Amino acid sequence: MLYALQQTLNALQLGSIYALIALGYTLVYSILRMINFAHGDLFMVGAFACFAAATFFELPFAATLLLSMTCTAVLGAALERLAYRPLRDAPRVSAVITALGCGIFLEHFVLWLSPYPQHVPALLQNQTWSVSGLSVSSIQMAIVAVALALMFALDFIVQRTMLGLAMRAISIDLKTVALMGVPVNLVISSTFAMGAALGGAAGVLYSLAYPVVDPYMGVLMGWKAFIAAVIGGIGHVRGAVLGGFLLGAVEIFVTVVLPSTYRDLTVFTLLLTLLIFRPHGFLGRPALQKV
Amino acid sequence: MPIPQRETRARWSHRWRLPLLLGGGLVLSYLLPHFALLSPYVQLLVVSVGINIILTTSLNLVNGYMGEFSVGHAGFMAIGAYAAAVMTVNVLPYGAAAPWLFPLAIVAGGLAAALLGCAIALLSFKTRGDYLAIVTLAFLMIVKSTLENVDAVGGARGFLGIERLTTLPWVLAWSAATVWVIRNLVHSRYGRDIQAVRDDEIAANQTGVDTRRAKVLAFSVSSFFAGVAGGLYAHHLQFINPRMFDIVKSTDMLVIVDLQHHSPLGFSGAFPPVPLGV
Repeated sequence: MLYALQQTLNALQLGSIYALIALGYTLVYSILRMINFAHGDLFMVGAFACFAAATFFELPFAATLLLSMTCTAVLGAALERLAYRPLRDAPRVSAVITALGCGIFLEHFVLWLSPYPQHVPALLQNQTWSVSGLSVSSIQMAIVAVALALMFALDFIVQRTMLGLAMRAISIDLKTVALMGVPVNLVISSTFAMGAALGGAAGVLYSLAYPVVDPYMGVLMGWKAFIAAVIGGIGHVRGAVLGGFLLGAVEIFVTVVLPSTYRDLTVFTLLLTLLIFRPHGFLGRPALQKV
Repeated sequence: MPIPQRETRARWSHRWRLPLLLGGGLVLSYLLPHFALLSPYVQLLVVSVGINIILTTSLNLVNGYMGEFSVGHAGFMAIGAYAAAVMTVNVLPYGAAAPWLFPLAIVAGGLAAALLGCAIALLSFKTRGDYLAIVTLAFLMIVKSTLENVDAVGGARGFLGIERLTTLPWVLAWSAATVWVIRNLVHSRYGRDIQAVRDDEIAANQTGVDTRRAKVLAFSVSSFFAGVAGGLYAHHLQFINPRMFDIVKSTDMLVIVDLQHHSPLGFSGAFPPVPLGV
């Protein structure tokens, strides 16, 4: 029982990172119906910004987090402006290929800056408390707390502000909303910036828990977070959070039972089965097909 | 009468141009390496160009003509590579007979891949668009992780001890066969069904096109040739490893197919494929 609780804590830690990245995919998808495959690499850039801030400027945790989020937000908005906006009316495959290309560009740009895996210095003092046999570390608490705070902030923005209203409206019908005088480009840019900032925050939290960063770390994390977004129903903000925590739980509990080399196998098999029986994720609604 | 004569002559040359080119190419592809007229590097390049032609032509059948976004092509290629390698290393006899039994191994690789292609086609009945892309992605990851966990084929270390059986004539013959089969398929009745799925699946279904049959056909033919390419690849490099067949490999193929769509040589789903090789 204690062991299961301990693993649940680990699952929460991993799941909150997945959920943060998945939110970036889902935000962009809900607005542009486009999968931003460079998002995993924005997560990587966030982790590297965290490394740079902590190593060269020796900033405290909060400042590092803020700096990384700003960096990735600017980068995300720039990607949208330079790479995706000219392609908004192009066939969707072109946008997907461009996104993959942007991801490869980011990986190799960072590879050029820092060819070796880097060690991130400890940003927080790691204390471990024992609560009736259950060991809880301060890092674990910080990860889950920051992730949850960001998720609530995002949910507030999407549900309660004018910007969120514009985002939700664009996700229903981009062309009509543009006619209503909503600054569509501005809203899309800020959506990209928000998604990227969440990815950057996930990068910082990830390097708190696993303090080695390398330029290719975003690829697999990105794909897995994408799966989390799909599990919850892509384009659905709360679904992405649900999917992230579910995926984290599955990954942790699979390695409890099976050898860790079977982890990816099990996760992807589960995804395939889910897609067969529930093709639109848990919270997504099937789109109507019209001729 | 002079006019019909000229017509028949024109038809004759038109008719025999392709077989002559292919036959000449085959002879050349045998002679050039045989007399060491081609540097090994150029040979390597030509072989990978040929393998890429097979891969992209077959991927184009699903992504271009059928309009479904599949990213699992590297998975089919991996299945073909491993199945063919198991055939030549463990099943078929070594030695002098091996080069003659090589096509058997390649076909076995292709069939194994085609079988899984059928399975993916069955999944594509329920999911389409982005979700089908995710299904193919999951398929790719499952293939890769399964291969990493099967010790009989070397697991994550990779499969060693494959004979070098892929020669230039074989690559040429297989890529010509791929282009020929897929071209004829696309221009056949079945091919029109496949293109109808791209243009409007529901409308096609309403007008009596068997879209399920079209999907199964497109996926199995496409994955058959991906498996063939995998078999050739394995017997070209003499070493395969699950990590070779990851999402990056699929991305490469997608980029080649996509570039070809944007090239001045063609439009969406156009033929012939531009042999961008490296």
